[in-house]
Amino acid sequence: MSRVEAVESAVSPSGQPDIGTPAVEATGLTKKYSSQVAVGGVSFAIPEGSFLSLLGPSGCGKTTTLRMLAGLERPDSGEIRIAGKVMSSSTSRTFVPPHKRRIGFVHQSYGLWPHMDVYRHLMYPLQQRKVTREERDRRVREVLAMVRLDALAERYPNELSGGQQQRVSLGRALVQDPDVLLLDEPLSNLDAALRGEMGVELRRLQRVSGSTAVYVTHDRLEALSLSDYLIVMSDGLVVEFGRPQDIYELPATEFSAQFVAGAVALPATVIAPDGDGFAVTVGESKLLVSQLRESTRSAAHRGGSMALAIRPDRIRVQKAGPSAQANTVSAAVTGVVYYGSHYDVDVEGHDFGHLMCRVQADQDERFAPGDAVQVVLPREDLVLVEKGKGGAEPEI
Amino acid sequence: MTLAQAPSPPAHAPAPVPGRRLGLSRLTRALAWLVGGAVCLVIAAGIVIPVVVVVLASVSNPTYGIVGNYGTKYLSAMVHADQFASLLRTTLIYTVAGTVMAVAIAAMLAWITTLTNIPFARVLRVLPLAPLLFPPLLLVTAWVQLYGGRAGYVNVLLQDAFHTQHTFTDIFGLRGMIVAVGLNMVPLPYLILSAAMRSINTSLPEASYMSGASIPKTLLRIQLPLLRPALLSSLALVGLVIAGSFEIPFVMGAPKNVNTFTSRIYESLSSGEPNFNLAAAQADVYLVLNGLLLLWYVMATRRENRFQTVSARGGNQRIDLGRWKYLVMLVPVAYVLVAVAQLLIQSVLVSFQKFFTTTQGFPYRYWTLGNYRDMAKQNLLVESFTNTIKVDVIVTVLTVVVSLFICLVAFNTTIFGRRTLEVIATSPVAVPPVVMSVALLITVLIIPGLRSTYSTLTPVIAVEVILFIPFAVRTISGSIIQIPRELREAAAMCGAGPWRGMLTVTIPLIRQAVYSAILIVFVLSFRELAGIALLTAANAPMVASTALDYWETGQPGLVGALNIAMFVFPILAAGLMAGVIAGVERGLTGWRRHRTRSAVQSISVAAAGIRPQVDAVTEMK
Repeated sequence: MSRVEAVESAVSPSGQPDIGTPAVEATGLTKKYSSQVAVGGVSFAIPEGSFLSLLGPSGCGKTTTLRMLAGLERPDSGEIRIAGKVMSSSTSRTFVPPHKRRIGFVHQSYGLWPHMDVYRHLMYPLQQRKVTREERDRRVREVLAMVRLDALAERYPNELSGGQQQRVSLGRALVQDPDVLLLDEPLSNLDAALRGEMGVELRRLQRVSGSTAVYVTHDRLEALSLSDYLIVMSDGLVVEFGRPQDIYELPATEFSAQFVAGAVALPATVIAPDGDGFAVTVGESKLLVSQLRESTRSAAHRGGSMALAIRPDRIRVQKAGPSAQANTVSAAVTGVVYYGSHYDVDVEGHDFGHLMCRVQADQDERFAPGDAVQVVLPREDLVLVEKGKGGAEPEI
Repeated sequence: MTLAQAPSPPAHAPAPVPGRRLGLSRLTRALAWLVGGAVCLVIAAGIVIPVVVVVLASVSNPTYGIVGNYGTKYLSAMVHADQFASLLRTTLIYTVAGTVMAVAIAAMLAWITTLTNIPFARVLRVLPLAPLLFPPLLLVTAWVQLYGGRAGYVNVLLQDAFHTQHTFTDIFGLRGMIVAVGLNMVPLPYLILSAAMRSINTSLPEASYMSGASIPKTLLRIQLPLLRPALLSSLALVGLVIAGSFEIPFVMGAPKNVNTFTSRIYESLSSGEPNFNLAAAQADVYLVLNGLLLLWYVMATRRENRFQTVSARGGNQRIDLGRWKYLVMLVPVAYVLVAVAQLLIQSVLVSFQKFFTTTQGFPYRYWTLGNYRDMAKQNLLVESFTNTIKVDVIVTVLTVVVSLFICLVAFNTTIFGRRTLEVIATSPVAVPPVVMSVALLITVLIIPGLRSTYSTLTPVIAVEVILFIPFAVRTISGSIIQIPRELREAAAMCGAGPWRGMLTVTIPLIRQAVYSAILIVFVLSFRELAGIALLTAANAPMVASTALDYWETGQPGLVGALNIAMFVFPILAAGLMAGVIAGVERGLTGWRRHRTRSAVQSISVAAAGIRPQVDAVTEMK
C-alpha cells in the first residue's frame, strides 16, 4: 500500500463526517532540497471552517507543507486546491503566486513591518485588493475590535508586547477575509503563561471569523487543545490523520502513541485473536489487549510484529510477590525521579527494554533502583498499534 | 450582519481567469525580466569591458591605434626595462610594509578602544577614523611641507635647535612613503578589527582561564585565532588599496625617482608622447598582483565559516589596566595628532600664506586671503569647482541608483546570475583607480562611438561611478540582507506582488542605508584624484587635478586652500543634505502619525458600537 493510499484509507473509513467540498485539499505533495527530502508525498483534505494542526517533531516537513500551501515554496510534485481552485499542480504546470492566493499567514516571528503602525498593517492587505473605502474602514474597524487592538492602532511594532504583536499579525491575516488561515508555530515566541491565553484567543478568533485554519506546531498539548483535526507527521510523511481525541485515545501507530499521547510502547507479536481482542507475546510473557484502531486490524494477523502502547500513568507497579494477576510482567527498577505529584519509575525487564511508569506520589509503596517489581499492564488500557510509523518502512 | 458571515462579495478578488489575464501578466513579467536582464548586462559590461580592453592593449603591437596585431612586445619591453626590477621591488615593499604597519597600528588602537577600560572611550573610539575625513592630497602635501628633507619645516627647526646641517627626517623616498601610507590607511582595518573584537563573547576567554590557561596563553590560543578572519580580511583589503594608491608614491616617491607602478603609469601617460600599450602592460602587473592577493585571501579564509557561530552577542568585560589606563589613553590621541592634526594645521596655515619658504626664517608671515579669493575669481578654479560639483551630483545619483538596482536584483529577485552581478559590481575594489582610468581612457579611444567623449567629463563620470559602486553596493546590501524573509513574505500573503512588496516593504526599510550611500559617494567623489588624474582634460578641469597641477608648478598656498576646500565643502554639503533628509523624514513620520490618528479616532468611535456585537458572536460560538 502506498503512503498516499494509506493516508486516504486512514481518513475515510474511520467514520469521519463527510466533509463536502474541502477548503484545502493537498494531493501527493513532495518537496526536495538538493537531495534532502523535506516532504515525501503528503495528502489531506480540510473541511471548511475547521481548525487543523500539523503536528510533528522539528524537521518533519510540517512547515514546508504549510509554506507550499501558501505558495512560498513551489512543490516538486502534487496538487494543491484552495476553495476548489487549483493553486499549484505539477501535472498541469499551474502555479498561482502567493500574492494571488487569498491566504492569511502568521509567521513564527510575526513578520511585522517595523516602519508601519498597527493601523497601516491592517490597511495594507486591503490596499492591495480593490476594496472600496467604506468596506476598507469597516473591515479594519471590525478586525481591530476583534483582535482587541483598537486602543493601540497608532503604535509601531517595537512599542507592542509579544502578545500584542501576535495579534497584529493575526489581524493582518484575518482582515483580508482569507480562504484559509495558515499559522506557523505562532505561539512559540511567547512565554508559557501568555501561550495558553493566546491559544484560547486564537481559537476564538478563528471561530468568530469562520475561517479555515492550518496550524503548525511541535507541541502536542497545543495541537490537542486547539484542533478539530490533527495530522501527525514524521520524516516528511503523514503518519496519522484524525480527530485529536481519536488519535489520543486510540492511536494507530507507535509513533503517534508516543508523540501525541505521550504513551510508552513495548514490542509485541500477535499470537491469536482472543474474544474481541488479541493475545500477544512480549518476549516470553503473554499479554491480552482489547483495543486497536479499525484501520490497523489488517496488520494484526497471526505472527504479526506490532507494538503495545500504554500511557505511563496507567501502568501499575508493585513489589514482586506470588500474584498471578493477568497482564503482568516482571522487571527491575533502574531509576526513580521525583516530580512532586508523582514519581517516574524506570524499569527494565527480560522481555522488553526500558519502560517508564508513572506512580502517584500518594501511593504507599516506594521504589528504589534494584528492586524487583511486577509491572501490571491493564488489558483495557493497552492499545495494539502498528510498529514505528506504521505502513511500509519509509523509503530512503 | 455578524462577523461570522463576513465573507462579503466585494471583498473577494475575482477568481483568476486562466486565459487572458494570466497571459498578460506573464507577458509583463517576461518584459520586466528582459529589461532587468538588459540593465544587468549593461552594468556588468561597463565594469568588465575596460578591464578586458586594458589587457588586450597590453598584448598588442599595433602599427596604428592601440589594440591589434597581438604580441608580447610591450610586455617584454616593460620586463626588460632597466627599472622593472626596482619598480616591482618598490611596489612590493611599499605595499607589504605599509599594510603591516597600518594593520598593526589598527589592531593596537582597536584593542585599546574596545577591550580596555580607558577613560573617554566613547570619544577615543572614533578618533582613529579621522583620516577618512581628509583628501589624501591634503595629508600628503602637508607631510612634505613639514618633513620633506632640507626644506621640511620640522627639519629646519631641528637643525636650528641643534646648530647642524644634518637632515633629521626625510619623507621623500620609500621609507617616508611607507610611514605616510601606514598611518593614513589605519581607519579601514580599525573598523574591521574593532567590530571583530567587540563581537568576541567574554565567555570564550573566561572558559579558557577556567581551564587553567594564563592570560597571554589565552590571548594566543583563543583571542588571536578568533580574530584571524578579521585580520586576514584587513590585510587583504589594505593591501589592495595601498598597492594601487597614487598620491603618496607620486608626491613623495617620484621626486627621488622612487616609483611604484601607479606613479610610473601616470608619468608615462601624462608626459609628451603617451605610450598606451606600455601603460597597459604596467597596469597588467596590478591585475596580476591584486589577483594573487585576492586568491590568497580566498584560500586563507576558505574554512572560516565556522567562526561565525562563536561571535555571539554577549557581555564585554573590559580589561582593567589600573593606573596605566591614563597612559594608554594617550595612544589614540597621539595617533590622531601625528596622522591628522599636525597635517591639518599645516594645511590651514599654508592656505593663508602668499609664499611658503622654510629656509628664510619663520615661514608663516605672508598672510593673505588671496588663495581663497582666487577660487571665486580665477577662471580655471571657478570652472574646476563647477565641473566638480556637476560631476559629483551626477556620479552620486548614478552610483546610488545603479547600486540600489544591483542590490534589489541580487537579493530580492530570482533572476539568473543575480549573485554574479553583485560580485562583478564589487570587483572594482580590486582594480587600482589609476589602472581603471587607464582602462577607461583606452576604451574611449578605441571604441569609435565613444571617441567623441574624449576630453569631456563623461569618462570622469564613468570611472567614478565604476569605482564607487562597490562602496554603495556594500552599504546597501549590508542593510538589505538584514531584512528577515518573513517581512517580504508577509507582504506577498497580503496580496502584494513582487513590485509592490519591494516598494512598500524593502525600500522603506533600507532607506537609511541608501542615504548613507548618497553621503559617502558624495564626499568621496568630490576629492577623487587617482581615478581622474589621467582623464581630466585641459578644457574640463576638476578641483583635485587642478590642485595636483598647482602642486607640480609650486604654488603651495593655493594647493593648501584647495585642499581645505576639498575637505570642508563636501562635508558641509553632506551635513546639509543629512539635515534636509532628517527634516523630511521627521515631517513624513509626523504626517503618517497624524493620518493614522485621524483614521483611528473615527474608528474607535465606531468600534465602541461594534464591541458588544463581537462579544455576542464569541459567546454564541
